[in-house]
Order: sequence, then structure tokens, then C-alpha cells
Amino acid sequence: VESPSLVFDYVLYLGALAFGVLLGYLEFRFQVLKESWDNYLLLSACLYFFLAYRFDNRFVLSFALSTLAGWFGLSATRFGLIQYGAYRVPAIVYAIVIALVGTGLFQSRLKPHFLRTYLHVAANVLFVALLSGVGKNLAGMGYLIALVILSGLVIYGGFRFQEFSFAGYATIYGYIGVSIRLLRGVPDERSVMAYFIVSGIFVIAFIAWLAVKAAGKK
Amino acid sequence: MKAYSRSDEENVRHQAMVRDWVSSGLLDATQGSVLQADLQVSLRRTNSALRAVLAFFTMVILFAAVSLTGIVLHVERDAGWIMLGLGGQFARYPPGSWCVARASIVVEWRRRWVPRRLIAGWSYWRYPVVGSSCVRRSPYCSGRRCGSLSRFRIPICRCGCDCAFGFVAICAESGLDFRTHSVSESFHAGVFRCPLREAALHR
Repeated sequence: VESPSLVFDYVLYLGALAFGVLLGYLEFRFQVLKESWDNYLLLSACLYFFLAYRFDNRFVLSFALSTLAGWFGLSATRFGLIQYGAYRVPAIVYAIVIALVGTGLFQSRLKPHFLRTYLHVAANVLFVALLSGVGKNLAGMGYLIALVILSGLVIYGGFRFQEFSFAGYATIYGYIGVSIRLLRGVPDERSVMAYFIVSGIFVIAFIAWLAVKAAGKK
Repeated sequence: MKAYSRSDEENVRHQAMVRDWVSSGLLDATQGSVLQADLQVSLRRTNSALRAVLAFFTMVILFAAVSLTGIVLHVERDAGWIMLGLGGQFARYPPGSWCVARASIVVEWRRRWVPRRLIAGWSYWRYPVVGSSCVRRSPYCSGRRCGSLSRFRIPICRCGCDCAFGFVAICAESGLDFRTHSVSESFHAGVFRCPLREAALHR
């Protein structure tokens, strides 16, 4: 079912947000589910998925995916799979899972235009998860290598399939990750600012070069 | 600071207008493609996501350059930082223009989009008022959809009536250049006749 209008899309999105607020108030006021309150997130995510597919609404789909991400992290903590507050690994698993689910739904031709929304959420979650590990002392280098490889692959794929927003994510997240690692322990402000100027110029030249190459292939 | 020829910049703007007209149903797809064929340019617009990335890194460079200058010059007062910031805003134009001249792909990279959007928003609110004041004052005005003309940026008939809707379509069919034939000139040349005007003249 195609969405009737943009106004309807926003009204539906507002309704979804209001539903979340209502659940929050009910739990705060009556404490129905108590410790297992994360099930509200699962319930909300299911409802949002239904609404997104019923009314062909990508706003609500992104809302459903982010709500599911919240449930994913909290459940992993509750079942003792990870330490409280350590959400990096569940985030990486979650990103891979929803990317695979989105691709599977795309191949089965069920709302194939939703694939981009799945991939946007998955890419952002994956990049942020990897980026959050770059600053760590021991494992940081591993995360940085993974981030650089992923950024390279996503930039290549972004230009190959003309999905430039993904190339944009990869460029910015990759740059931030490399900068965090390179600038660790550099006390001199002048060196830091000079690094941003030189590296920024290189990145702009690189992006312009890729864009010219991509335009030449069209 | 013009990096492109006037005709190229006009054609890029007209391409957007024709796309608007086709999407709003004022022209059909065939008429739209006829007009688009006349508006081809060698420039290619950079994707909006890439422009956002370029804008992000431009801001990083600008911020770093201003900060570095301030640190080197030992600027301590707020007024000094404000002056430096303003200087940085002006200093970015020469390298920006050089980049645009070097790579024609980055059309509109340095376009002042904020004033453009503000003016567009202003005209959107202004023209309905002008159109409304035209309603029934002129014998040629149908009183219908006058205000909506400005939204689609169609050349407006002097009386404000919606005969201009047909004008662009007729240009597309007859191979006329809608950029050089104004609606009122076409009336005088007999190329296009507004049925309302004709009816009023014969009344």
C-alpha cells in the first residue's frame, strides 16, 4: 500500500512517537512489567514494523529499527550475554543482522525500496560501534583496521552503485577514526590544527577525484 | 565571481523549472523531454550527499585555519577571534572559485543557497498576495490559480490569469524557446492567444 501523502506520513510518525511516550508513562505510573520493561521496546518495534509495512512509511521503519536496536542491547545485558553498558558487540551483531534481513526482504521483493533504510541504519550503527572502540588502548588498533577496511569497501560500493550517502558516511566516520588514533597524545595545538587543514584538503581532493571519475563513467 | 557562462547557469535553473512543471502535471513527459533536450549543458551537478561531505570538510579546514591563525598570533580577545572568523569567511572564496574552475563537476558547490532559499520562500508568500489582488480586477483574469503560478515559477501572464499554464506547453509542442518568448510578446505576435483575453476582446 502506497502512502497517500507526506502529511499522512508525518501524522503516522507522530502517532508512533506518541505511542512510545504513552508506554513510558504507563510503566512509570503503574510499573506493569517492572524489571522486564525492555519488552515494551520489542512490542513497540513490532507495532512500528507493522505500521511501516502497512502504510509504506520509511520514517516509521527507521523508528522501528532504532527501537529494535534498543531492545537488542538491553536484552543482551539482561540475559547476561554482555556486561552492563558494553553495547559495542551487540551493536555490531545488530547491524549485520538488519543488513542481512533487509537484503533478504529485498531479494524476496517485499517492499524492496525499504532496503536503503535498513542499510542506512545498519551502516550508521556499525560505523559508530567500530568508532567507539578506536580510542581503546589494546583493542583500538583492531577496531581502527576494521573501520578503515569497512570505510574503503563502503566508499567503493557507494561509488560503484551510485549510493553516495554511504560513501559520505564512510568518509566521515573513517576520517574521525583515523584522526582519533593519530592525534592521541599530541599535545601541541598547532600540530593538531595543521593536521586538520592538510588532511581536510586531501579528503576534499580525494572526494572530488572520485566524483569526477564516477561522472566520467555515467 | 562567475565560474560558468550565463547561458549554462540559466539552463541549469531552467532544467529544474521544467522538472517542477512535469512533476506538477503542467507538462506531460513528452513535452518535458522536448524542453529538457534544448537545455542540455556540459555541467553535471554534484550529488547532494557528496556536497554535504565537501561542506563538512570545508568547515573543518576553515575552523582549523582560523584557530591556527589565532594561536600563532596569540589572539586572546573575543573581538580578535570574531575578526579572524569573518576573515576566514572571505578567504574561502578564492580557493573555492579555483576548485570550481578546475573541475566543472562541482557546479553550485559555492552557490549561496541560503539567500536563494530565503528569496524563494519570500516570493512563495508574496505572489499569492499579488495574484489575489489581480483576481477580477482585470477583465482577462480567470481568478483561478493565480497564486499557485509563482510556486511553479511559470512565466506569469501580465493579468495574472492561468493562461501561462498553456504557454509553456505550446512552446514545447511548437518548438519555441520559452526563455526568449515572453507571454505578453507572444500575445502580440499572435503565437499564443489567451482564450479569456480573446473572449474579453470580442465581448
